[in-house]
Amino acid sequence: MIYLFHNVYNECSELINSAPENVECIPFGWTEEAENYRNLKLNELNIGVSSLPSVIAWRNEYYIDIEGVTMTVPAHWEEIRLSDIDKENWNWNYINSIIEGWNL
Amino acid sequence: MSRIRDIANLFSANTDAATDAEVTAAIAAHNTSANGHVKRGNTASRPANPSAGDVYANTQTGFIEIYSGSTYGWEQVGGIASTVTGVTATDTGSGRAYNNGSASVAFTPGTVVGRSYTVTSSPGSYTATGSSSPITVTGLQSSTQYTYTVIATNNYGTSAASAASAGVTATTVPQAPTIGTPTSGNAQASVAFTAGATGGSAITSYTVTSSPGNITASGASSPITVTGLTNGTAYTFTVTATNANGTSSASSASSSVTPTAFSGGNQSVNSIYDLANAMVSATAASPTSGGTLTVNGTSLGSYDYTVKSGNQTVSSFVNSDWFTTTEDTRSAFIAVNGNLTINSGQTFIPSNRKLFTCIYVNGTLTVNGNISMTARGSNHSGTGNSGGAVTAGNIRIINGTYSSVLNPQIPSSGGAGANGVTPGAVTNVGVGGATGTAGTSGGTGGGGSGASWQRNTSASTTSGNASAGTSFSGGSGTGGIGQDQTYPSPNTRVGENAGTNGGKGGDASAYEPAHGGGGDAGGGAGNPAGLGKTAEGGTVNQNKSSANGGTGTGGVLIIFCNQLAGSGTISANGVAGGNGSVLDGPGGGGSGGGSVTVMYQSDSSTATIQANGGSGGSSPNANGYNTYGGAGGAGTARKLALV
Repeated sequence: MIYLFHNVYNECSELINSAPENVECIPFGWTEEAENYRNLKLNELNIGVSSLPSVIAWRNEYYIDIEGVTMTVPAHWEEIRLSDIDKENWNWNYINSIIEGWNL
Repeated sequence: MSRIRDIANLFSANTDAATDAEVTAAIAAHNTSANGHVKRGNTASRPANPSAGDVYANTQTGFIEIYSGSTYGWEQVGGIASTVTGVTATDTGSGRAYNNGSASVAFTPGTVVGRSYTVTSSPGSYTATGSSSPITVTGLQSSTQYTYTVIATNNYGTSAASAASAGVTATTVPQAPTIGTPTSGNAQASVAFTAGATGGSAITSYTVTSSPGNITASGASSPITVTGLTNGTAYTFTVTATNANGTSSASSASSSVTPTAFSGGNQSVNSIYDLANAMVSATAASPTSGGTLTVNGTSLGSYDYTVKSGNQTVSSFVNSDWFTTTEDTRSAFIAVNGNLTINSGQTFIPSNRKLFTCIYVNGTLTVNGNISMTARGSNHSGTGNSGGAVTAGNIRIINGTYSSVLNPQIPSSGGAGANGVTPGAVTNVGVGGATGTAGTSGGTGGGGSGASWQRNTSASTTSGNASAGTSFSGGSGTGGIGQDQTYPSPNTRVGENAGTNGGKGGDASAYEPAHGGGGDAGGGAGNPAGLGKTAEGGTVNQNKSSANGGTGTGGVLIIFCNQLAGSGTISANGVAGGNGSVLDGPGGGGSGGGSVTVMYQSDSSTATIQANGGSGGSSPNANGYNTYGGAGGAGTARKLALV
């Protein structure tokens, strides 16, 4: 499952409208009902959201080699901050390529 | 035959009937005559000018009829009233009080007429009785659809109920609105209310009336601003709603407010809007020191203000045109009585940290550049640059409900800071920092914690805890922490916590006696920034370059405008944590995002509104796998319709 957290003033409507079936789009505000649901979901995932819009996806365990010592980074939910990505790349092909790159 | 002839002669004016034909003719003439004997014929042939008590044999209905007088006409002897037909209903709610609607019910009496007719509604069983069609039923519930049946009653009984009419919805004047809390300005007050039920007909307007003065103002929705009030006079207000049927009863009276002209000094107001709205009609003023500020009973430090009259265009931003240089303990109010345009390429941002910034534009706000409180969150812990601590408190933006948000505010507490992270008691594991908790209900975001990793040791190295956001600042982040081999004492290293209330970011920590090249950690973002750290104990200098965290936290920005236009950016972002150095030095945590609330009456903009947390510091690694610091939690970035 992939989650797209977004603000409520159409800042990423194309991304929402083209979301694949495995993407749940969750508005971030600002009614009490909306906030309760997104907090529930974030607690369930045990992750915070730092930026809107953001994609949260599962990242498998991976390894880092530091001077011959293999370091393990455990699997975890990870945030993709779309605000750090050019808007021209706000599409699911690009986002999925990032996620697939994590989990090769 | 002679006897019959004699009887016929008694009935007839002709007394000399001698033949059978003459007798028969005499009897027939008697039966249709008007000489006081029982007459007969069909309904249409009833005597034209009967007297009460006249008797008639109706050969059409089969009933003997007695003329009862003009009120009830010909009544059937022994005949129960016929069932009426053709029942139709019409809503007659004009001028009717809420939940006391009425309908006019028309019908056609049956052959045997009734002395009375009773109309009954469904649902509700509201009834009304009359002697003829139409009959008006009252007491109907507003917005409810009713059907009606009619029964006819005479001296001999009651008819069966008629077939039901078609359904008709009862409409009335609206229900009285529920008054809210008014807020005052300069010679005016904004009166909020909650609409009641429509009464079944759309509400076309609301009217607020002051007391004293009976000054009125009308509008299509809450809130409604009443102008022309006298400063220094306490007013209460009532509100009514109007639809096609008329005007509701008045609401109960509001609490009282006293309009005041703004002239600086100490201020105690119900909301930020009240103060900014009062400022906009004040005399123009360059950036000026105001007094203390209390909003909705909450002390919020002190404020500075700037008032501009006429349209303003920012083509080359100069801080002193708009802001003072005070820092950390004062908010900034900017009121523009006209349009405000921020040109492309310009960033409208105070040079110093503020408790919050409020911009009120009594016209069109066009943002083609940037309006920013990024990295301008206050260090209100008392360790900032302008002296004493300021306690966070709820910042009431405005009273009323706007875009489904009741009494919008910046809550005193923002999102929680992320706890420090640890790989646990395992060897050769790294974990990224945790993201701060996002702000809720208008709140700022919490700070992010730094990443943590340990190599050749299972010491449960732990990064420091980030701090929570407040109503004046996003939370501060903490530094990354790295450990190679067991530290002499204590064995388990714990990073520095971030300062609270927008204070200092946590410093990084790193220990690597054998290599000196890895683990150099980035600091957390805050006021001031947490420091990066070159690994202790290293013997080999590998040109390490761990970085301090960024300086600043997300600030708080409140904007009111008549119209919002432009395609620029309005932001109050946090700041990034420091990067680790080569070989996966753990990154520091970012500071929390601030809070942006834009309230507008109309919106034609495509502006981006952001209150993002600062990103976590990275840990450079050629293969892209690394241990980032945690980002600051997102704050609030919202637009609310000021209608």
